[in-house]
Amino acid sequence: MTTPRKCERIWVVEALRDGRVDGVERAKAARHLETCAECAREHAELERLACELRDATEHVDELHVRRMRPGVLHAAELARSAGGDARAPRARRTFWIAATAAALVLVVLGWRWRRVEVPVVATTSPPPSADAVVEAAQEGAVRWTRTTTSEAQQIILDDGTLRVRVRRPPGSKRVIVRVPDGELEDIGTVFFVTVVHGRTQRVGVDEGRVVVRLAGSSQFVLSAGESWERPEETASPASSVAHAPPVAAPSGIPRPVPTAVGRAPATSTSAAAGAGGASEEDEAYLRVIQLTRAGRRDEARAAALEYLRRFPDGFRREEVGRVAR
Amino acid sequence: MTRAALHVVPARPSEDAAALARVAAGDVGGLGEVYDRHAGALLRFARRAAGPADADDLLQSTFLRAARTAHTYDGSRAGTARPWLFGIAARLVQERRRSLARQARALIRVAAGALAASESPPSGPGSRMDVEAALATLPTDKRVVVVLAEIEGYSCAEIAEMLGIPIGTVWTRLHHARRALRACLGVTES
Repeated sequence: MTTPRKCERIWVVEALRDGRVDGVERAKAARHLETCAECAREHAELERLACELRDATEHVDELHVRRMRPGVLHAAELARSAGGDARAPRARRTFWIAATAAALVLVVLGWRWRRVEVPVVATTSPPPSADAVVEAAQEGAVRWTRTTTSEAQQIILDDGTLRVRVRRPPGSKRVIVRVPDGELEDIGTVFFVTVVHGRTQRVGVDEGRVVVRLAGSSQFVLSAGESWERPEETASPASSVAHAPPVAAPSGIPRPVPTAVGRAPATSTSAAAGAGGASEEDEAYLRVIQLTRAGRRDEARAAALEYLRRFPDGFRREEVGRVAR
Repeated sequence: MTRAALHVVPARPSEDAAALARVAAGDVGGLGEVYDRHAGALLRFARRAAGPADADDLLQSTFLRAARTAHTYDGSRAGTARPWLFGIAARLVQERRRSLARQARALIRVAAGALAASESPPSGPGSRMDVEAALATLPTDKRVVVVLAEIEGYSCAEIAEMLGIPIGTVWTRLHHARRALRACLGVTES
């Protein structure tokens, strides 16, 4: 019994399927399939193969996809920052000169802050296409506005005092408070900001922790319940702390121990060198992030190496290690 | 004879172009929009092309590269950004070159399965294996092409553009991939 000869045009089956023939040849090939049993069988087998492949494809869990989203966007943001994106708007670079990754609190010079019983105008957050909840309450006369971009919710404070409460779930939009002499980004803190004549005067923290960075001085950290006030004279940070006028502790905010208030940034940093405390570690990490986002790569790398030296087992060692490479 | 459309994408190409333009300008929020529209399909492809263990990582890498190369996306072309994203994912799969180790493991499973089949009454024309194992036996370049063509439903011309290879190469890889899969899955070949 002889073996049936294979159809000489068996190749048209795949050719038709893959778009290798067109025009007249395509029409001829299609007619051939209608008359040739072997080619028709080949076509059926290829279709069966395709069906098996498609049927075996599992449906994607949409919840799993959603859970991955914040991590993907965060990684993209870190990659963009670490890369010192040259295409970033100048405004973004200007912002990061004055801000850190953690919450910054700006208090602008002016009057001695005290808790004034004034009607609080609570403002609800803009409807978030993001998840961040931002509540801004003004005390007295305040000039401020609010905007929302695709990336961040922004509060623009021109003059006066605002009480800001931010709750930012992971993956939500950034919250940025823009002031005349800088900007700050919040990551979930309750704080007071006072701006007078374009200068920060006082910082008060109700909840969370704040890294304060002001022009002309290094940063320092305030924790919940602490406050700092700018002295009237222009003096060194250390002397300004010693001569800071007494601050009437507002209700609800216990007066901190003077040595813990507004400690000189340089000395606090140096004093904490090697101590490895959590606040110092956060401070060092925030320094790395700030320099990275400002595009100051060499300084960021140096700061990263310093972090790794001081905190070899630090919580952020992996992330900082990438900057240090 | 035409191949039925296997994938349906939201008909909002201008939104993808606008979102990627924002990403190129430094707005990561635009990436989130693109993610919401295409991550599910990409993850499905990643699981077939790279394997379940590597799929999540491939998905993230795809969007990271998309963010980094958003400025290269041609927003003037018709269609959504999905083919462009698939092209990134497909090239990442090939770059990773992990198929050798995975194929070795799959071949071991194939051998074990064939041995078991030979010891039990055959239920069909020949021994069979599951689709995932069969795909894993393919070299990366052929696996990517057959997944894009037969599961994701892209034309050979689209696949050639995604991968940056000649269409003739796509045809060849697809032909060899089908032959190998038919042998593994017991689909008879004329």
